[in-house]
Amino acid sequence: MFEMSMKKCLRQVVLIGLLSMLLPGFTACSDKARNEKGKIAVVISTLNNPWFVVLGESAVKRAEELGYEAVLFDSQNNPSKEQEHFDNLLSSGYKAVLFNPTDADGSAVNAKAAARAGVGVFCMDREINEPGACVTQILSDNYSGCIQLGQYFVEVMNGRGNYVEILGIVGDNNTWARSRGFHSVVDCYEDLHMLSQQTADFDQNKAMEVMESMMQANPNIDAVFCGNDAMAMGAYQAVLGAGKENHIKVFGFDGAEDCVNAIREGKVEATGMQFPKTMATTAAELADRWLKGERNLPKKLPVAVELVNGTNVSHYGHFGRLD
Amino acid sequence: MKKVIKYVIFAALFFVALWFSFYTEPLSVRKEREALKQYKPEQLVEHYWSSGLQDLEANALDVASFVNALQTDAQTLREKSGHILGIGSNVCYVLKGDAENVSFSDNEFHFKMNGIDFKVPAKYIFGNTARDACGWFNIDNFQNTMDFNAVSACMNQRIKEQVIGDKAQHAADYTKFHFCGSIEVKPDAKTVEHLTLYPYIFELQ
Repeated sequence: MFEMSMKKCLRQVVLIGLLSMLLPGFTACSDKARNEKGKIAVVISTLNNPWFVVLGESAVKRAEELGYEAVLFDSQNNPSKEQEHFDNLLSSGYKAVLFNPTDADGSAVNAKAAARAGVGVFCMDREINEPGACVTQILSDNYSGCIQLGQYFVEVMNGRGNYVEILGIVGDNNTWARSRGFHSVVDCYEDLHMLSQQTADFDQNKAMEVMESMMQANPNIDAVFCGNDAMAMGAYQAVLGAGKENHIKVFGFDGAEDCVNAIREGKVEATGMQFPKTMATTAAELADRWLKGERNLPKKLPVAVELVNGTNVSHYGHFGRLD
Repeated sequence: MKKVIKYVIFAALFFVALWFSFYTEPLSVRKEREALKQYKPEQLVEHYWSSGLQDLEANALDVASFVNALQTDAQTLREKSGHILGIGSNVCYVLKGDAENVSFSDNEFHFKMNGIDFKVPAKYIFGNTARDACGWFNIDNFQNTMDFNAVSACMNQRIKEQVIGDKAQHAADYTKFHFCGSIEVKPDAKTVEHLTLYPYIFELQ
């Protein structure tokens, strides 16, 4: 009996020993395959906002799944930092860039430099005004999303009332696509009056300050439309601080977890759900196809946005659908 | 004397060179030329509307065929006649037909055809259905999405002002309409009960 278990034990030790010898080989093989496929850079405008963290991490994850070495760069919403990243990555042998630019015009120079160096640029979420510099731009259909939000806004407001708007970064096309989509609906209703429109650069703290000052200047605000969810949460904090949470209706855009939860709790009226994981995954897959030699790719690929409100919020979670 | 002639010739040459180095033009002419260089969605919409409307109507689906194809083979219908802008977008189609028993209320025309309740907005016209259904515009050909979306705004304005125009005021006098217009359905739709139609053609009969 003792002999039997001794033998069994010995066999297990040998097996584990063999496995541990083989494992580094496997790892080395996969590393080698990854190195052979090349490196992909993921350059994100800011990692200070959870939305962009999801975008960046999803892009890295998908690129790695496809066999590439992927590195994440944070531009900190600073165009010169972004340029530094491009200078570095262009001299470091990266084959493609999954790019979330800081500025629609200012970032074009970086994309053009990459294109000249034969590095494929795939824009995610934010657009640059130089379509020739990018292989593909995968963008949220912000305009259509804000048309849906605008229609719901009119419904909630019953077609009348006073509202204010908090814009994102002025140099970003998404800011204006959202604002124009919203106004293409709301401006048709003559009993809806916009009292003030100010920017808070997609930043929660700035939005809180902006909302506070707008409430002081305009005591009769009924609603606020914010260009993203971070600003919507900032505006809500200001509204809460002023004790007007039962009167002023807050609308956001993005589909961030805290905002979706706020809709669930009845604090925020609605948001537009973007799909950062879809955009990042698509960008990585298109980059893979491009690196394999495919050249017939779409220049622009919009991703639909869905309205999330009190009636359908149970179907949505953190930056996406639950089902 | 020779020196004087030399100076005169040099001066003349100098003034000739100077004359061709500068030019003047009225400010209004300059402004007009600059304006022409700018992107004008109205001109683009006008171009396609005047040249492509006949083909659009000729290739449009009649409502009965659309309903039947959607139920039996939605995928083939989508591939053959639908337009999809991007990932997860609705599918847009162009339909045509002759609507009877048309009524007007709440700033909308209403009629029923092949089991579908149609509404045609007369006042609140927005969205991208008209732009995307016709297939005239490719997003890849635009400098940015703002220019592309400006086309929608122009088309919707044109539908409101020219296609619908003052027909709402005369709605009570007519009950029949000939139409060719755009609709959109969810990507996985097999049946539809309600559709909003944004017309390219909407004629009282």
